[in-house]
Amino acid sequence: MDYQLISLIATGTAIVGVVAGYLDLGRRKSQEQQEAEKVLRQAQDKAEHVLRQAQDKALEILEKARLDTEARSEKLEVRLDRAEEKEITDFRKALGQTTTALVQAQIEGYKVKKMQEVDARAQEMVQQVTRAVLGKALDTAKHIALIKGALEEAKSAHVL
Amino acid sequence: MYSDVYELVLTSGDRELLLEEIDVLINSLYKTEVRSRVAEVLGKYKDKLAVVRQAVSRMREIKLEVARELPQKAVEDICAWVRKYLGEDVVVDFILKPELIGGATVYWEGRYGDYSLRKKLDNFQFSNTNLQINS
Repeated sequence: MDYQLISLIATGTAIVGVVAGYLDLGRRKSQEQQEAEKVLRQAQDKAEHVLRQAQDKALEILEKARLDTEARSEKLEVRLDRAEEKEITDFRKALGQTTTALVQAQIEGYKVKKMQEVDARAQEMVQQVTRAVLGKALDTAKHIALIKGALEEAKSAHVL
Repeated sequence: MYSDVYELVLTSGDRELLLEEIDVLINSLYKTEVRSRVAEVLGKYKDKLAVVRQAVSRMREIKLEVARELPQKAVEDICAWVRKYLGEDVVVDFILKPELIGGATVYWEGRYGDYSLRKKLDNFQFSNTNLQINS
C-alpha cells in the first residue's frame, strides 16, 4: 500500500511537475514571445524612424536642390536679360550707323546722277546751238574749203 | 583713153545721164535730146559706142557725203582734185547730209573716213567731258 501510495504520490508529483513544467514552459514561451514581439516592435520603430529620417533627408535634399535650381535659374535669367539688352543696344547702334551711311550714299548717288543728267543736257544744248550757229555761219566757199580739207585728211589717213 | 569722155562725167548723176545719151545714140533715136558737147565728143566714137558705154559704166566711184548742195563750180573743183589724186576714171557720188554741218565723209574702195564738222565737234565735246571727269 505504501508502495502504491508512494507510487501514486510520485506519479502525482511527476504529473504535477510535468504540468508545472509545462505551464512554466508555456509561460516562458509567452515571455519569450512577448520579448521577441517587443524587440520586433522596437526594430520596427527604429526602422520606421530611420526611414522617416531618410525620407526627411531626401525631401530636404530635394528642396535644397529645387531652391538652388530656382536661384540659378533666376541668376541665369538676369544674365540673359542683360546680354539681350546689350545685344539689342549694339544692334540698334549698328543699324543706326548702317542706315545713316546707306542714306548718305543714296543721296550722294542721286546727286551725282542728277549732275550727270544736267551735264548731259547742257552738252546736248551746246551741241545743238553750235551746230545751228555753225551751219548758218558757213558760206558756200567755206563749205567747199572744208570738203577739200576733208579730202586732204582722207589722203593723209590713207583712206584715199 | 576716153579722157574726153571722162571729162563729160564728173558725178554719178552725170554718168547716168551720159549712159542714157549713149543708149539714145546707139539706138539712133531722139538725136536731138543729146547735149551738143556730148554729141561732139561721142561723135568721135560713133563706131564703138558700146565700148565707150562699157568704159563709162565701169568708172570707179568715190562717195562723198556733204552738208550742203554744191554749185557746179564747186563740183568741178572737187572732181578735179579727186581725179588729180585718184585717176581720170573716177566719178564722184555726192550725197546730201545736212547733219554733217560741214566737211565730208569719204567712202573709197571699201575704206571710210569721217571728216565732218559734226565728228570734230563730237570729238571736241568728248575730250572736254573726259577732262571734266578726270579733273
